[in-house]
Amino acid sequence: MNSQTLTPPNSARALSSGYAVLIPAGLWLLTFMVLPLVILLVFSLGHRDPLGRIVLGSSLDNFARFFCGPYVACLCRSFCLAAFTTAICLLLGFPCALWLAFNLPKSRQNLYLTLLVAPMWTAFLLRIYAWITILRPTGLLAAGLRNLGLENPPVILYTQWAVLLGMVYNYLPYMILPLYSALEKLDRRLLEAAADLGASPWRAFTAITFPLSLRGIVAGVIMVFVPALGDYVTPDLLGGAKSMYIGNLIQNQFLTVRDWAFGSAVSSILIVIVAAAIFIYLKYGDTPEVRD
Amino acid sequence: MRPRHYRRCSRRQFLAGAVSACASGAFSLAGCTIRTSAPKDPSQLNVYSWPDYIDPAIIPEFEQRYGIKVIYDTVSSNEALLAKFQAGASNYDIVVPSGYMVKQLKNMDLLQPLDKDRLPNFKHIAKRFSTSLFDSGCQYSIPYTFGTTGIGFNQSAFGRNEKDEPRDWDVFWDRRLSGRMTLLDDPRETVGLALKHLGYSLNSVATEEIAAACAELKRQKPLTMCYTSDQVIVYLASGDSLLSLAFSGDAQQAARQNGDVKYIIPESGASMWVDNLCVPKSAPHPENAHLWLNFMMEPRISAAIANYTWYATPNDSALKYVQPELLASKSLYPPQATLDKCEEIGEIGSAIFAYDRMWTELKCY
Repeated sequence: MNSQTLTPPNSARALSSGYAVLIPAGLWLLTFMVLPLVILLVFSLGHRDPLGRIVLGSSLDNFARFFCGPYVACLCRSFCLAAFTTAICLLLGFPCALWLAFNLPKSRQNLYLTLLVAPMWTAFLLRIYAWITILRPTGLLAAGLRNLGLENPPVILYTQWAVLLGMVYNYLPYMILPLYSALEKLDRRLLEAAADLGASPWRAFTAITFPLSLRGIVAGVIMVFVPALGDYVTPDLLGGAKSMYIGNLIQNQFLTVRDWAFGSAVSSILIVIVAAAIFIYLKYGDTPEVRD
Repeated sequence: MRPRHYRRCSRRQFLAGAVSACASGAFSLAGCTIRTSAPKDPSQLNVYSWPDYIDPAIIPEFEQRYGIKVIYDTVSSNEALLAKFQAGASNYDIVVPSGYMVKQLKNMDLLQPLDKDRLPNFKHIAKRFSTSLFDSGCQYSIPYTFGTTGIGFNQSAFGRNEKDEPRDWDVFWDRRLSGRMTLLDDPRETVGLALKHLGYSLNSVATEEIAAACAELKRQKPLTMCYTSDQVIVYLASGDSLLSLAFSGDAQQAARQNGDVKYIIPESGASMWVDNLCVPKSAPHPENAHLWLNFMMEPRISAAIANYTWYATPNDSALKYVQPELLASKSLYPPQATLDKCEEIGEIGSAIFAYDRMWTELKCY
C-alpha cells in the first residue's frame, strides 16, 4: 500500500535495477516477516492440548471463539483508545509542527527536533515508571496538590485517563515528526500569494497549509494509530491491568494461558483488521494532493 | 510464577511479551535462541535457575570440592523455561521450575527420575514435601524453597490495633480501603483468593464455582487500585497500598522497608508454593547434576541459600543454621496448623479455559 503512494514514478530501467537493490531487505522481510506470518496463520488453525502444547489442525474454532466471547469488547476498547490517542496527538502535534516549521529560524529547528526525540533515548519502560512515580497516591502530583491545600487530591493513576495520558505522551513525537517534514517542505510563496490576494490567515490555513500537510497527517495518523492499537505495556502499567486491551489479550494467551493457537488467531484477526483499516484509509481518505 | 520472577525480571518479560504481541507467537519461537555450544565437557554443569536465587559464594565451593565448572544461567518465568524446552534446548543439567511446572514438564516427558541412592542428603528434606500434588514422593524434583500467598497489610489502616487487623480474605471487600488495595495480576492466584473467600478449593474445576468467584471479583474490582505482581513490594513499603494479595517473600521485603507492614496467612487458608530442582531428560551431565542436588541439600548450604534469598528452606536439618530473625517470622515459616489449611496451586487441565475466560471477562468488565 505504501509503495503506491511513496515510490516516485520511475523509468523501467531504474525499476529493474531497483529490484536488485531490494534483494537483501526482501530476504530479510521474507524470513522475519512473511514466514512468521505464515506460521501464525498455521498455528491459528490449531488448538491447545491440556499441557499447553500446540496441536496443528484445520479448524476455525479459534476465530469463532473470538467473535462470540468477551473478546470483541477488548477490540472495541482498543480501537477507542487508539483513536482517542491519535486524535489528541494530532490536535497537540499540529500546532507544534507548525511552530517548528514556520516560526523557528532554520538554524534552531534541528536543536528543537533533537529535544523532541531526546526522551526516546531513555528506555520506554523507565519513562512509564517515571509517570507512575508522579501519578501514584503518595506521588509527586498528589503531594503537590496537597501542598496547594487540596484535601483529597484525585488520583488518576490506574484509570483510563492515565492510560490515555501515557499513550499520548509516548506517541506524540511520532505524530509531530511527519507533520513537521510535510510542513517544512511547503512552498511559502503560496502563503505570500494568498496574503497578497487578501486571504485571511485562517483562510490561507484551510485553503493551503492544511491540504498540503495532508500527507504528513496521513503518515502521522498511521504511525500513531497502529502501534497504539497493539500497545499493551502502557495499559498494563498505567491502567493497573484493570482493563484488558487487545494487546494484553494476545500477551495473555502466549505467556499466561499458553494457548498459542488462540493467541495466533487473535493476532491474525488484528493484523487483518489493521491492514484493512489502513487500506480503506489510504484509498478513500486520500485527496488529490496526496496522490499527486 | 513466583514473586522474584515478576519483580526482578518484569522488564525482560515485558520485552519477551512485546515480541510475541507485536510479531506473533511464531516470531517469539524464532526468538528463543537455542545455545548450540553445549560442549560435552565431563567436568561441567549447566544450571538454569532464577536471578538472585542462590548465594553466589557457594558456587566456587562446589567447583573446588568436585572439580566441576558451573555455568549458571537464569530465566525469567516458568513459561519462558517451558518455551526453551519446546524450542529444543538440550544443554541444561539443572532447572528450577515451580510446582505446577514440574508436573507440566514431567507430563511432557522432559524430566528424568532422580537416583535417590546418589542423594543421601535427601533425608534432610521435611517429609511433608514428599506428598506434593505435582510430584508425589519427589521422584523427579527436589524442593528448593517454599512460601505462601497471603495478605500483606499496613497496620496504620487498621488503627494499629491487633484486634482490628484483617484475619481473612473478606477484608478485600471492605469499602473503607477503597482504591488502596492491590491484587496479583495472575488469574490462578487472584481467582484462587475469591474461591477461598467463598470456601471452595483454589483448584476448583467446577464452572459454577469459578463463575461465582469471578462475580465476587467483579464486585470487588471498583475497590482495587490495580492488579500487579511486580509492584507489590514498592506499594506496600511506600504506603500506596494498604492491603495487598502478596507473596510471603515480597511482604517480608516490604516489612523490612516499612515497619507498619505485616503479613498474615488468612484463617481460611492460602495458596502454598514450592520451587524445585529438577534434572531434564536431555541433561548432558546427569552425574554432575546429582552431585549438585546432593550438595544443595547439605544443611549448611541450604541454610546459606535461605539466609541469602529470604525464602524458606524445606530442609529440616538446615533450620539450625538459618538466621533466627528469619526463622521467627511466621510469614516465612508458618506453624504446621497454618500450613495444613493451605493448598498448592495445581495443574487443572482444561478447566484453565474457564479461568481464562472469566479472567478476561473480569478485565473487560
